[in-house]
Amino acid sequence: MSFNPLQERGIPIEKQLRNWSELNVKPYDKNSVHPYSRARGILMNGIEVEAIIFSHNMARNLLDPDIKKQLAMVRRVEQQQQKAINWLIPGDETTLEVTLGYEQVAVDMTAWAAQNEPDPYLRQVYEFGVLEDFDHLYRYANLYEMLEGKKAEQIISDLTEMTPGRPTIFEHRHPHDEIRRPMTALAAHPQSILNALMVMSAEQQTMNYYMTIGNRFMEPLARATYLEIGMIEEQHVTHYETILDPTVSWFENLVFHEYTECWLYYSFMQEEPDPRVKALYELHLNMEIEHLRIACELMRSVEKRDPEAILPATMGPSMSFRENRKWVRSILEEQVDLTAKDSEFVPVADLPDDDRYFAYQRAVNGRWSPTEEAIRANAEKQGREYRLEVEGPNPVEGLRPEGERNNASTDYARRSVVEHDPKAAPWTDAS
Amino acid sequence: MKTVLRVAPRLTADRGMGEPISLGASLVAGKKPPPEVTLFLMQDHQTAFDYSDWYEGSRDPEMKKVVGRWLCVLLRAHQQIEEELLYPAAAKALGDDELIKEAEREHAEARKVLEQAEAQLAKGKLPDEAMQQLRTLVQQHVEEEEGELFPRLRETDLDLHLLGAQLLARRLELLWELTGRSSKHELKETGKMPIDTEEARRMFVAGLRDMHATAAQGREMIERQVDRLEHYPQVEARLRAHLEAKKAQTKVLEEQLEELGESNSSLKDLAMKTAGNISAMLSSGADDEIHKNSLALSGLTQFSISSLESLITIGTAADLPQAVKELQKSLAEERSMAAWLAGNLRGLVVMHLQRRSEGKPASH
Ligand SMILES: [Fe+2]
Ligand SMILES: [Fe+2]
Ligand SMILES: [Fe+2]
Ligand SMILES: [Fe+2]
Ligand SMILES: [Fe+2]
Ligand SMILES: [Fe+2]
Repeated sequence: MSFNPLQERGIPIEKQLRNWSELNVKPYDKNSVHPYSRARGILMNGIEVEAIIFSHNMARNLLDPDIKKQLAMVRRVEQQQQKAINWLIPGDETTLEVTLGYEQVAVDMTAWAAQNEPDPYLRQVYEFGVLEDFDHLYRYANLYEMLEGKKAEQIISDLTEMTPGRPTIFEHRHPHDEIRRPMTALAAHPQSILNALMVMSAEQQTMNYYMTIGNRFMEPLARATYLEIGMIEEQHVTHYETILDPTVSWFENLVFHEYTECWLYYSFMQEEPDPRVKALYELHLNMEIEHLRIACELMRSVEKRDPEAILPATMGPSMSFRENRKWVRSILEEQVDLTAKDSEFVPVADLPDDDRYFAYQRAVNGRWSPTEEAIRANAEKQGREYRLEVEGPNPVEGLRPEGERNNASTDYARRSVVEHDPKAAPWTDAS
Repeated sequence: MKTVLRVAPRLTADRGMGEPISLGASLVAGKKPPPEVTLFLMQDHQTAFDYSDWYEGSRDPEMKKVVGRWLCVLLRAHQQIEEELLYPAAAKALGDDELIKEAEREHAEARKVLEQAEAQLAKGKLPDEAMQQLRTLVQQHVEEEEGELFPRLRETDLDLHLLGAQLLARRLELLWELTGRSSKHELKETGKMPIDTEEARRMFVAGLRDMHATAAQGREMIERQVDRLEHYPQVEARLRAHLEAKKAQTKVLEEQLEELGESNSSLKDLAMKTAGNISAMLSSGADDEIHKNSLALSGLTQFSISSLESLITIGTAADLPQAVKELQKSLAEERSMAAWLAGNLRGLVVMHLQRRSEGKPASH
């Protein structure tokens, strides 16, 4: 069945406001919530945050007070939507548990985007990125076990595996190598635009989250791990935002944003098993249909252009959170040793010794790496590191635990110019 | 003979308070920083190769057709912006007609194959062979552009960012057209104007001189008022700010005229003459001086806005985008002054009346 939000009637904008009690939704129960229910909520929060930040930026760039009023009205509703969605997360879910949810979203959302991306270059962009968040999940899972004494599978289940991806220590690249080639919206598959906005929004939310909550820990290693991975999320936002078409106008961009919101609420409304949350998604979809109508009207009146010309006639496939274990493994096996050079992806083995990648590696990693230490310290404490490998040992021999590698190593390890020395920890001198 | 020329992106997409909306208008007004033209074209080359790989690698025949069509559109737009805007500028700057002629010949050759591909796609067939041929031709051509033409262009004093703005705006417009998205109320940002550039330039110079006189007049009017104001500090502050803007405007106008070969002395005379008329417009000494002068200033500001708007259109037709950009800035300043006057007139009149009623000095 095809769905076209342009042909639906939404809730009139002035009827979209809710009072505090309506907004203050009852949070889910962290012990019984389905991991992908949590994931959908996290993703929708990222989408709403992007809707809000984009609208603010647009308002700052427009002079017409009437358009500013219309944007402010819709934005107020986006804020309410964000509150309702994000307040689903219960207060007893710890910062690290929320973090595990974020990285699970990054893995399974990006995996979906890659598998539903028609454009091969963009597919490569997602495949490249997914291996990095996959590795973050494994690092945080170890930190979680070390600090809270629990296993990450209690939160994210075995739908997503926890084992090394492209090791975080090697993900730090020179900023110039994070710039991708932009798509041409007018000669692109509509799905490509939706995928890019979705993934960019989610990564931006993760970046913002680590920027803010990374310092909420007493434990120095946790603080260090968050700041290191937080810097990768900055890279990820750059990586994904640069695939968007920079020539689209503010109004086209607004239309795309609202359309993406419609698409995702429509998708999740169908997929969500919890009837209460499902009803929330349906309500929000009906609001977004109206937002989209307003955005289209603005585009028509200001730009004298038809929004129908840039939107698909029917919506593409519904976004869905599902298990991608085998798929992630196959990508890991093929692409673990890729790095980025300008806007291309190349084997790290091909880089010359004087490449800026190695200079950047030396500059940020020094002699001590938080994400390496998180694994080492947890292994020391538990007698083994934490992994959840449902489908067998890590497909890349060089990423298996020490002693099970048959002396194999990744190209990254072979070309590494940095070393992790636990004795070089920043607090060893001070103590 | 009248030349039909292509002009820089038109500024037709202004709305309301004058914010440029379209990409073309934003680029020319400096609201979106344009790319350096050779880097932008190299990126476009890479995109074409990506699409060609996509075509070749895709197994679904329907998807192949879609990608094939997109590739044709991208190549057509790319060729056209180079031929219309880049090559003429390059030929002039390099003084090397041969290099450009060769490039155009290669474009023509590729276009023949492109047309074959399009024809087959239109019939619902997969133009595999044409696509392969196209790939080879484009690859050779791109090597020459990136290896010879572009490096040489970077050595010239061409404004490569300005060219970038023009190519980018034109490309976007072509993409709308070529993908069949243009509608009847479509805004044209570029497009051919059957106008003789020289004619437009002459009119532009005359317009600049008039504009200079108008600006000098405005400056004189404010200067005479601002030092007399005693009881209206907000008005004084706003006028002082606008006076600075006016001074900058007149200076820019003088520089532009000089660049276009106009002498400065004739300007001064004209400015003096018009400044003489100011006394008649101002009401120094009247007991509602502030009131009358605000009305006079409001009239002059509106006149400046209209003058600037028409001058921008003429300057665009004269293919003088840099000059137009400066005028856009002046236009924004005048619009902001007009908006301030409109928003404060009522309060000013009330305040004036109040002071009069209380028997306080109120005239200025
Ligand atoms: Fe929303
Ligand atoms: Fe991550
Ligand atoms: Fe990420
Ligand atoms: Fe919305
Ligand atoms: Fe080219
Ligand atoms: Fe060319």
